[in-house]
Amino acid sequence: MSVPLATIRNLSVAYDGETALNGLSFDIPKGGRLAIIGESGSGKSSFARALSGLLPANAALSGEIGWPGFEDRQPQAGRDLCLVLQDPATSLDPVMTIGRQVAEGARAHLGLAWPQAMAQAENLLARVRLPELQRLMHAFPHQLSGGQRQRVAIAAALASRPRLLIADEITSALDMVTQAEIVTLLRDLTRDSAMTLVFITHDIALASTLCDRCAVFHRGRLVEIGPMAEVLARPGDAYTATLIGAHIDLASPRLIEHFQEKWEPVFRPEMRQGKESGGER
Amino acid sequence: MSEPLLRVSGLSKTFASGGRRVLAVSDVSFDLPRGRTLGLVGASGSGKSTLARLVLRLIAPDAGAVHFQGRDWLSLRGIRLRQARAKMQMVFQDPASAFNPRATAESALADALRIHAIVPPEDRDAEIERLMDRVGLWPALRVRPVGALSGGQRQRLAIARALATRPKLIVLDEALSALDLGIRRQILDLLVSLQRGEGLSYLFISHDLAVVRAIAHRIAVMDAGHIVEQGETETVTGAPQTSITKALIAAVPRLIT
Amino acid sequence: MNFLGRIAAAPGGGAGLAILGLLALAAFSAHAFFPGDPLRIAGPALVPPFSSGDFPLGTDRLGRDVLACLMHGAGISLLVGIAAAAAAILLGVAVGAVSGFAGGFIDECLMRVVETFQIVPGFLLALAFASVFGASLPVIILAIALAAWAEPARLTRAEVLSIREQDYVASARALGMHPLEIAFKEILPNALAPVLALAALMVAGAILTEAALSFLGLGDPNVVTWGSMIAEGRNVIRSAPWLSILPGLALMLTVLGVYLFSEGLSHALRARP
Repeated sequence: MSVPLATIRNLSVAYDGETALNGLSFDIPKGGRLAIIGESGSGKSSFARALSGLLPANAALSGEIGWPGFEDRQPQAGRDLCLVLQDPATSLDPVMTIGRQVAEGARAHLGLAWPQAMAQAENLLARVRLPELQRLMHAFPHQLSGGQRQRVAIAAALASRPRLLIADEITSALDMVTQAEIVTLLRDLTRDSAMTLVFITHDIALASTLCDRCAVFHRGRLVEIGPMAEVLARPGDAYTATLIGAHIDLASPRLIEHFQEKWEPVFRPEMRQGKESGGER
Repeated sequence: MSEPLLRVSGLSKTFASGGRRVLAVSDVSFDLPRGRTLGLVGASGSGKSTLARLVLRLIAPDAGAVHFQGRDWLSLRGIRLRQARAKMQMVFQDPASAFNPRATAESALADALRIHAIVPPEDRDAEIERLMDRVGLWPALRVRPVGALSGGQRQRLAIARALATRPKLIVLDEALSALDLGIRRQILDLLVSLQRGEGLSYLFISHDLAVVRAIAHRIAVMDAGHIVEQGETETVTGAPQTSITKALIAAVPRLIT
Repeated sequence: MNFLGRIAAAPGGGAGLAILGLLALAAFSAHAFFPGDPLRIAGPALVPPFSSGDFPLGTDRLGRDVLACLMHGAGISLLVGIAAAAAAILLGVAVGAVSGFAGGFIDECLMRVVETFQIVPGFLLALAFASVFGASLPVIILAIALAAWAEPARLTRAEVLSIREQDYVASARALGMHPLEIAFKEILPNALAPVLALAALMVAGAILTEAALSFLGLGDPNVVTWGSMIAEGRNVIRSAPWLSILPGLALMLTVLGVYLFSEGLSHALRARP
């Protein structure tokens, strides 16, 4: 492998003496999609913040994050790397229109004038496949659904053409259909681009549909890292195996025994009529 | 069995929001027999939670009827409604907000036991212990403030509170969505074993079709306030009839190995 | 005790508790150290502070002992402050809670009344009330309470309205809890926390209002208050500035103590495990 994007060496993070991350060491390769998998308390969000240099003031960081992918200079959050969070409501400005919000990044970091920045914003919003762009450009965040807001947050992150996009549980507040759409979007956005994606999630199956590499965190430690397919096929750690075992999809065995007595479907003609007369009003 | 435990017919609710009228639940009908689980799936905003609250009588419907245990559930008032509520309980999505911030595990369960005089006061302690044991909470957690419990422990406590009044039906509104996968699996197993042991019925609401499929005998798919498809679990997931159901099936992430 | 400990542990809370403790001590020990009426003439007039062993803080132009007046005044200030704030909170919480629970027409009516009180400057209201009904301690306490109850009323109403929509209230309803029990056990205790944090600040406001009323000569003439001491000292401010400065400092210290205490209180109320 060529020069990695980032090298993490013995990274630890503690909040007021409580350890959140403990001695992480691994490389993030350039390009590609790395999944960070962990449950609550695994330290995965602390990792996202440490990587983007956005740890809160009471956090103590030790160890090193090297950035050979950025010619060894410290990348700037918001320009060289962007962080998208679970709740876009907290990262979008509630009193700024969607168009300006996205244009702001392009203007500030690419040095575009407002008209060009707005045009760029429209392009970006089209790339994240938001509908009715003309109306949306002038809408405010609260007028959008959760999935749409998350798309805006991604568009705003892409505005400065970052080399690294960190997505921290960005689908966990969304329903499954919207989640699948966002994951498809991320897959398409990163497919033909040099941008590296770090996708942080508790859902190993979701990660497997998107990422090529996978790192499993447990209680602040890295328990396993490797190519996605290899980790899934031959988990090297009991914890990873537990995670895979806990996954439920449409092929999993059902938890209830097959019941004998038939359950009559609802069919009550008198109600149907009642509905139609009610529906006329 | 002739009469189902819960029969919902033509239930509708419209909210007025900022001058606009939003049809949250529209002409919804289903039956839920004893000892069975009906899974209710749909995207966010499809009206699932409103339906749950209508069934629980936390909000009043505009039209429709609900029969619970053979009685007209919507006509109950005052003390008779409060007493009848013992038989229909609910578990919310976010266990952090489902308990009074001042509550401890013990006080939350004691309230439920006291209101419905489930056991004589002198047996209340033993009953609390039994309930906590049933959901896998060890006795040392009794005096913990609910805020000091983990998410999984809180959700177990919420289930214990729902069980305390000896219900026939528990409405679970996205009860597992906020939990880690491992804990989600444990709670699913717990729900299934409680159903086998006590003949409980569940109205299990989730946006995750895979989880619903694992636990529900029947599935109803909701979209824009309507039930668009309803049937045996294997039929709905195996041979979906509507584009909504197909989209829900396609959205379930599969382990790609 | 645990709760006091949490207040003391909060930043500034310890200092606030210490100041208030000192004031309470001064108020309670005033009668022991200085029995009798502090307004009686005790010695020569205009003795400067720190010049006489009999009068550590000197005397005023009628020969009254300044330290005795200050210590007796501490009791009056605290009494008026706490009583007025308590009355305002009681009235405000009652109105706010009824408004929040009842909703609809009752809510509309009560809120219009609250707004009426809010648009009149509180001090003017107290001033008018005290000048109409005469200057006595109960009237002054009531006057200050009338000027201050609107804010706790609004806050209580807002809290009740927001807590009513919480899942745990829905849980209590689904559990079959009686509506009154829901109101008094589930909603009100949680609605009161921010109101209590406000209470301490209202004590500080009430102490200042009382001092201002006394300064304008609308205080109870039969008791010594810091406000009347400042007003009294104003006549000789060039020759004996300490007569105004000392009660002024006492007032400042009290308000600071109450303020720090209230910070500690809201910290402790927030930091519930």
